[in-house]
Amino acid sequence: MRNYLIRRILQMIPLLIGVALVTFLVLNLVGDPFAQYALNPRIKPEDIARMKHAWGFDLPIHLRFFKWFWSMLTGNWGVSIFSGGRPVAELVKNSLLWTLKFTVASFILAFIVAVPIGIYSAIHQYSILDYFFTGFAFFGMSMPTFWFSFILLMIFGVRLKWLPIGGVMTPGLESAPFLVRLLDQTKYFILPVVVLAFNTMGGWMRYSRSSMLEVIRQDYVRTARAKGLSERVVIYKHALRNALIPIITLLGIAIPGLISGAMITETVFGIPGMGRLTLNAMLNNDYPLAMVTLLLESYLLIFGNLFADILYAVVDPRIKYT
Amino acid sequence: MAISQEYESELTTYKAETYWQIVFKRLKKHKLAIISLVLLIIIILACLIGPFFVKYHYNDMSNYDPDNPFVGEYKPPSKYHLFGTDELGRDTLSRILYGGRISLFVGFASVFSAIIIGVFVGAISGYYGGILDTLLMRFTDIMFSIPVMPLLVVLATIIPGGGVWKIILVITIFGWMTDARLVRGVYLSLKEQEFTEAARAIGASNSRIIWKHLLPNSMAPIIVSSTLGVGGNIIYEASLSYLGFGIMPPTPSWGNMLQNAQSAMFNAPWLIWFPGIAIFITVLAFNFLGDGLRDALDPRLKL
Repeated sequence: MRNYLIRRILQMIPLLIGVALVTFLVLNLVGDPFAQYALNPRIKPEDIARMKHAWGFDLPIHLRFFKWFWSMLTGNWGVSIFSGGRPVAELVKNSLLWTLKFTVASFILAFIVAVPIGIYSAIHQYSILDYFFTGFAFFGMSMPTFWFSFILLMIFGVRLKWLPIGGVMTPGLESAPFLVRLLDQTKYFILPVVVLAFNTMGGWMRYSRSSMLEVIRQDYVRTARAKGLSERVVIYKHALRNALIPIITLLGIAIPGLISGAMITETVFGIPGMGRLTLNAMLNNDYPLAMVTLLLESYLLIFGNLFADILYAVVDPRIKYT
Repeated sequence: MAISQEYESELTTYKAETYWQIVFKRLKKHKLAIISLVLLIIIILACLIGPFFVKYHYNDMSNYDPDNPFVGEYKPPSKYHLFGTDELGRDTLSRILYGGRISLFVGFASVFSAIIIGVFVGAISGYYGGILDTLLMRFTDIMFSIPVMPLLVVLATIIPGGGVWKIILVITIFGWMTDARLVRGVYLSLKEQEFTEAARAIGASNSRIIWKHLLPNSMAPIIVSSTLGVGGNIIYEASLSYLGFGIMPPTPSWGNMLQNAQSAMFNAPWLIWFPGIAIFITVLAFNFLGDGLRDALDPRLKL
């Protein structure tokens, strides 16, 4: 087990560097940030050269990459050009908190809804409800996230006026007691959480359904039936426990979707999270910030996958750590 | 001895069916897939020839008319504008039909180009293996570790222009890796099979084995993944256009028709319903068709 862990983590290192390299190169394609100064007749070429030197832009590209990567690792992320020179670390910290809050909530919601439904569909294969849930899963996968958000906003926000149509909290409640703030934020988070969960639910349902179906057909389940156990014991005690193991990999599968979906959901509902921050950085040509957020989102994904893999290895005793 | 009438039906010889006839026969049993196929043909035809039959050009602005309450900006569906008008008084029906051309074209073209690159890379990588394979697969690993939507937004910012071709390029850049992985996996298992061995034994060259023997045998997963891919790419185009990085107005696409729709939520809900339903039905049909094709082409296939 320890060897497996060490090997798995060592394998991750080239991936981390590779992602950083791709991020760096892609955002370097933007071009020379000093090009527009050259058009200005009042800025002398010497001054441009001096600025380039001051910012390290006169170095060859591989040295620039190492310099940038090192400052990323040491947490020296610089300042954002367009957010009034605020430190990037501060912007990212606030945004990451919002994103984690509502992606984790929708992750839990999707899990507790989709997995039982998938298992029910497998036990009652080809029943009416099975077909209904399959159709439901396809609906969820075929709907653009932002359009589904619009529909929910129109129904619950505009028509029924039950829920707010955007933002994260009611203005003026910043210093209210904790419980009031919690209730207030829950109201704002219901729609984004449901939208994001709905998007991932379809895939999960089908995944847990096929996982359970596979287990039900195994010999040991037939043996359990043959020795006269009740159907309930066979399903819930023998089959379910093994069917749940592959579902853990859902954790790894879900993370990319959650991060991507979060970008759109945050935009629709006006949540100041990571996706929104990346988007604004790109809209404002704030590339230093965009590089940090893109890198962080990728690392979130890589570490999420690592976590899922380790969890899988811990839970499933059949896995050999070779 | 004469064969009695009642056994004649059993004696008639059967025509040998080709693979594709069998596939179509199996597909016909999948009701939802057939309905989706018909629906898709109708949608595609409507988008292709529909714009010739509508009264308004997609950029015509319907002018305010004091005598007619149904023309002008933000007008609800009526007999003058079947799907209503948008914030500039343009006919929504005409824009949906024309936008459908763009959205479907983006969907098909990006899948097609991604498949070409993916098949090429996957085939080479899977067949030859070795250092090339390792390098290509590590590269796909890296690309898979960057979340799709942020990557698409970054690519869309960096590549200049705002046209259809740019979006196709952007979606292709991140899309080919999935196909490459898929094709590589199929090739890895196919190259160990007897028919490949036989082809090699009679002296077929590597490129002949790759393109003439292995490629036709890996068509099933490629067809399924591209059918599902068209739907997925239509959603990506729509999402990018919604975020403002997609196809630039005034060219309509289903996605950028929804770009300004959020503000129309209060007074013009039809601007949200119609383009969204167009996307939803089309993507749903592609998903059902892909699902049916998967069962019909190869029931053992897991995609």
